[in-house]
Amino acid sequence: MTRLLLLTWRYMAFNKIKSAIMVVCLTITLFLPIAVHVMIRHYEDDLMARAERTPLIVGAKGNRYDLVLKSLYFTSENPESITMAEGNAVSDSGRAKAIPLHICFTARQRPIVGTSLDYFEFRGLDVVAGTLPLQLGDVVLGHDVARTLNLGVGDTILTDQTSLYDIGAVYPLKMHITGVLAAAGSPDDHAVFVDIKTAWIIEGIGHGHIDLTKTSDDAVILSRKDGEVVGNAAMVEYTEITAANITSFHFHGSMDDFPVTSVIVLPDSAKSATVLKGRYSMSPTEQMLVPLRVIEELMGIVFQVKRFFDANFALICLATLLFMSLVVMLSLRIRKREMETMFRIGCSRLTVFRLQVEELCIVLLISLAIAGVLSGLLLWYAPQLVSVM
Amino acid sequence: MTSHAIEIRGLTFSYEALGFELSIPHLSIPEGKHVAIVGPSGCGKTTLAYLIAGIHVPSGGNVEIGGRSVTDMTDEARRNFRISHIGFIFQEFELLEYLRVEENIVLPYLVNASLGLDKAVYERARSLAESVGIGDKLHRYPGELSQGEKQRLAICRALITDPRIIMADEPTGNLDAGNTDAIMELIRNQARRRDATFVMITHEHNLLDRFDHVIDLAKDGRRDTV
Repeated sequence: MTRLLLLTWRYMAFNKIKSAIMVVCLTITLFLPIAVHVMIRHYEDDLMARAERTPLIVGAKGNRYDLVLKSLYFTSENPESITMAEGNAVSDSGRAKAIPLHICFTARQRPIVGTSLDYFEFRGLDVVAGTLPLQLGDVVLGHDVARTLNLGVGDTILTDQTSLYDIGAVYPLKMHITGVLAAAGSPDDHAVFVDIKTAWIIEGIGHGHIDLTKTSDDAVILSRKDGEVVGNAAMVEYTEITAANITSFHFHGSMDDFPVTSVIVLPDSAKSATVLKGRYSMSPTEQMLVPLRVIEELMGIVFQVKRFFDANFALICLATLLFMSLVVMLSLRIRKREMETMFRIGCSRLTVFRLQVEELCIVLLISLAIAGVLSGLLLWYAPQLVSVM
Repeated sequence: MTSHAIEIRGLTFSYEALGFELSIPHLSIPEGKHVAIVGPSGCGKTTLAYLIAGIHVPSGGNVEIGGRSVTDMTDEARRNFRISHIGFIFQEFELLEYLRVEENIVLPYLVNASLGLDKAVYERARSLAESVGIGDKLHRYPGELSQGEKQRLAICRALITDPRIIMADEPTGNLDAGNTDAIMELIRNQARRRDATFVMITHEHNLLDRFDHVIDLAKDGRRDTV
């Protein structure tokens, strides 16, 4: 170690707090813009990748962002629902495959995605344990859900109550976990998957109860007339679908009229996509969206916000620079006597100046090193961090 | 013929802002002598010491140390000359609080590359510290030392380059009577051991009988010749 470096190092080591504050200030100033840039870049990549893989979405007319964010990332407000008939219409057109999505409820605060088995194939989702949801009441957990809730095949999970103070609301449904998905590094890791019919049961459209035509318990019968039996409010609906009661579950009405949040449309060709888009462009109640366009639009807004962040960082950098100048000036004032002593002993003024510069350089180097390490770690963990966010 | 350690001719120096002016027509201090410079506050004792040491440059006249004109030297040459020929002991000790005792002693070597720093210098620092009674405190910081120990440390720093001239600016000004005596004797002994010239600025008249010569700046020191 050179003599001046030793002096500088000793000074910094003796004044640990001052040195640490300077290092922290500089590190934050250097690291924050990098961190924001990296996170936004990864967030963008993540959003875009999923949007790119989803060619078209049909949903109710309204907020496009809500519809796409809900259908792709299971976040945002619940958009208006459409009917299952729309999904069927797409399939019946012979131009595309339709995957219905019903995303209105949660189980232990994780979104419940009611869909068909095609969804798992479309997203390339495989189970690491158990099977996909094959019957009513079956549930498959996203990888992160299983990990964080410490649940696995054979366990059960309750749907969350939608309205605590509505005694007429549907009771939570106890569902059996039949599978756990492999980590996908996507929003699917944070969701709970059921068959769309199970989703309708959760919504109360379908239900199961004792066979009123066979029961001898008159307390649950409101009326009997010409072989038609009407139950009363005392009749209890099942809150769990088991092998013993699964056959009693049924739906009232036509499934075509049942709600879905949206329908993922997988056209068989570009021409089919164009034809379908044309059809929906004239629909007064539904819209067909290209998720990539919507997300690009959204990212445009994000990047506009980022510009504000950049301006903010420029100001932070300036403030830090001024702060550092202040620290140096105060330090010079405090150390004036010490510097004068060095000069009287036989040290040149230039050497005294070099001591100050070396101190700043060391602080800068340490800050750069820490910011570098933090940036490296951030780059390494960014995908996980983005998926958590 | 007696050779002079310090010789001043026609020296003038002024702080215009303060209206202060110092004029020494002629002053010479022989080698190996112990000389005290006395005078009331503000008469220029410290200024004279700084002029002799080459810390200040006179506006007129000449200062010679060991026959070499300090005044005519370049700044760098003057610094290098000062650090290797003159050991300065300050009243306020002027120690660096962030350096350990051992590092404070070798400070002249740390701040001036013209002096070669090697193991022998550290060995000499340890030996000096032993000789002034702080040998067991080499790894302490100045803040952990008593006033007397701090001044002993300052003395070690002044002596580490083995200077021919030892200058002290009221080195006992911050010490109690017991420490004053001890420090005075310590510096005098060290100077004697090295056969070095010792110039001390003081306002403590009770110490003057220990010096070979006394220059009173207030009375006639400005023209005095020892």
